[in-house]
Amino acid sequence: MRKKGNILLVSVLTTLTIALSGCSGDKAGGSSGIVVGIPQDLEDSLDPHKAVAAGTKEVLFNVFEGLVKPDQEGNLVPAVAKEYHISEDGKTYIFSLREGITFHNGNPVTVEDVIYSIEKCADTENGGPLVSAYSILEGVKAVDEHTVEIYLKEPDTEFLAYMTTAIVPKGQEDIDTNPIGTGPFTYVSRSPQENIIMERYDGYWGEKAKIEKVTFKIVANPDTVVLELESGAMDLYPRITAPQAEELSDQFYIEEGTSNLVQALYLNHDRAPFDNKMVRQAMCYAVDKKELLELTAKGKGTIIGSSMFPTFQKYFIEELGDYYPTDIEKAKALLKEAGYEDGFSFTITVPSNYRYHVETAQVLIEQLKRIGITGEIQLIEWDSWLSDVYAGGNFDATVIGVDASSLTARALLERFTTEGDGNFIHYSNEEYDALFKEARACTDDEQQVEIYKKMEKILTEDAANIYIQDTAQLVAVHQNLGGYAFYPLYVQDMSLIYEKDGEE
Amino acid sequence: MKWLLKKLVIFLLTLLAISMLAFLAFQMIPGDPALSLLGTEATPERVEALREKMGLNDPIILQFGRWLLQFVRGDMGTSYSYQMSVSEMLKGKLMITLTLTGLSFVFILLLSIPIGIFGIKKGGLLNKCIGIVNQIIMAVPPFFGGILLTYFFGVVLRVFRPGGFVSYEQDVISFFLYLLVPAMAIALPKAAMTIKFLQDSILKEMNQDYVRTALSRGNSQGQVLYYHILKNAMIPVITFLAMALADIVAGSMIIEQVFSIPGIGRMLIASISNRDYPVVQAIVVLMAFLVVLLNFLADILYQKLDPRTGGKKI
Repeated sequence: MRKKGNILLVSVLTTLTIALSGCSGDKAGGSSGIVVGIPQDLEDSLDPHKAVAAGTKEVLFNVFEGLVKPDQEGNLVPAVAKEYHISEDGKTYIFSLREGITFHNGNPVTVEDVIYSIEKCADTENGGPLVSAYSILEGVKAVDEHTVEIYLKEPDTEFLAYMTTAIVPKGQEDIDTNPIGTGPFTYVSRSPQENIIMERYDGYWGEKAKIEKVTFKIVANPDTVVLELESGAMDLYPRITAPQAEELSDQFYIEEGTSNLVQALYLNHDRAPFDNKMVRQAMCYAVDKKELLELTAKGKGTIIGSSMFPTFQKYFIEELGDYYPTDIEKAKALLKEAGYEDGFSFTITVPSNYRYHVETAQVLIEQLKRIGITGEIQLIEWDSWLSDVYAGGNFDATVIGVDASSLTARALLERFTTEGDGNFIHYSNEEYDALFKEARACTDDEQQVEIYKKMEKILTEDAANIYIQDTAQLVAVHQNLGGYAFYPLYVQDMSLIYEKDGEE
Repeated sequence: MKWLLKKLVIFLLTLLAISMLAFLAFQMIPGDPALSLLGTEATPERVEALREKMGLNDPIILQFGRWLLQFVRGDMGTSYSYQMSVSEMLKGKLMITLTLTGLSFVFILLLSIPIGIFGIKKGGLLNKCIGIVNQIIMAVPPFFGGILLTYFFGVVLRVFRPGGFVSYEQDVISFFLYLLVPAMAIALPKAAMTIKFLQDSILKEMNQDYVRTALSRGNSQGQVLYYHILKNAMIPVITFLAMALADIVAGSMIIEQVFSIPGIGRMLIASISNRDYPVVQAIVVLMAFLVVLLNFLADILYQKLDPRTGGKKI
């Protein structure tokens, strides 16, 4: 009897050990494709016109294309369209379709598909067009089998930037769950909270992708990133933090770029004392951006001074980053002049899922203490942030990164006009509004750039927000892989990734 | 039969109450699903249009009624955020969570019963040691145990790939292998509790008169232990195990988070933060269903094993 018990125990333990040693930590072979980690799930429709999260768009970039698409330098290059012309008055855009281009289901792309896609985005049935810039759309017309003309109500030379809207097959109903586009990768499957898988599209019109299969794996727990990379569960992770990057072994190398985000302490201009320019300026003088970067990101990141980031070279003004050199005395004097000699206290509301913004807020609070301002952090869920802060305006200040939805300065600057969509800080400046109108009416590119630059300067001089930086983007790439490319927009281009012919 | 019917009615009422509470809780917390869907591209007009479309402007009672009617018909609706059918979405997830639960349960049984009996039979110092180790393991919460096990198997022994979850559709063996470690993390503290429970129960039974009688009739120690004592000693243990099983299902979200397992628990957390009502409702009802069902089964089992409880007592 006693023996029997012992045998049972031993056999249980041995099966356990055998079973466990069965799983090895070796790297998966190349045939199964590569695994790319993404820090958030695509909790979104896969319909490219309905998807709003930056995290969804960066993945769908591989599946869909517009008439034109952005390249790495920030230019718009023809994609579904072979070429385009803009009429002199900036009111008519003419696109000729690329011949022989097909959707992933094998059907050729026709003018009807293009018209359908654009009209779908311009549809105002849902309380406004899906692409807000389409409100000036007058109509779309097929000229012949390969040519589409788009008419605008008013001249707009920047409208091309919005023609990156994905072209989808006409009338496809299940696009929410079965996205079909023209891009270098075909959508295969998705599993919520787990992954999204895509495969190379061999009928792609342009240079075909080098990797056969890409699995975007959702990383649920940011603390396990290093472990997952090292164990071979992941080959590439595009958003690694500076401390994590240092932990990685030499199996990986780091590509460094910028995130194309305007990170700032955004202030609610509807609330005292942030309606006082001197207070805002005092805060600018009190913040030491270099120290902040040193403390939060080991010095990585680009200091900025207005709502513009360096990859938009044409518009970016580097000097604005130093417009308010750290000067505690000056800050104190300004506060005194504003009537807040003894400082004041306020709350910074930060979405808790963005750990980096939370850390930034912590440093900001310490720095503002130096001039007698007491800050307090309130962490909230992303959804509450959207409803309370972004839409509800119920906040003092918040730390967040704002991105650009298209390749124009307008995408970053329009929101701060008095009536602008997404003017969540309730900023209002007549001069700024007037300049924006002027820029929109302007058909000369150079002149337009100058006006946009003036607008940026106003934001800086007015200390509309406490601008901090365009955060660094660190990408961990396995030594076997190459070809990671940075874009001036929030996208992950997997078509350029290739496997190195290594010793392994 | 009457008893069963009564139980069944209570069962259904519990589910109804839970789904109603979950629905109400959502009305209290901040956040708006329409706004959540539109994100930073929301304009007041678009949010309003979407709310109208999603039926969020209707009175709560109407919304709940609509959901209930749909649910009773077997339609769990469409996820707000994923735009997928909820039942389709949860099918795969449930499979994962149930496998994990089943695996943990097997571990609990395989560890606790042999060790428990073995300890009793050996007695003395050895059993004292088992008792101490037990006490320690019991005090370690599963998520922390999970981290320790990950470190041990993943970093020290390198036989486990942290975060390397493989879907069962892809590779069944790797799927099981990955779940072994998290299952162990769940099982260890529960197994420790079961051992303690089992031993206490056996010891209590040992002092009963029937044991002395059985021994005096010339039965060996082992025979008495296996044929007489265990049968009675198992009754409270089985109740405990059924509750433990329910606890594992409900607690899956923690361990799934630690081990990056895309099961029901993680889906629930994500859906709550997305204000994805249809998914949350479905999962809450599903979990409640499982928990209530397991308790129900435990009740029945309890009666089968111990005729004294009879049909009417509970």
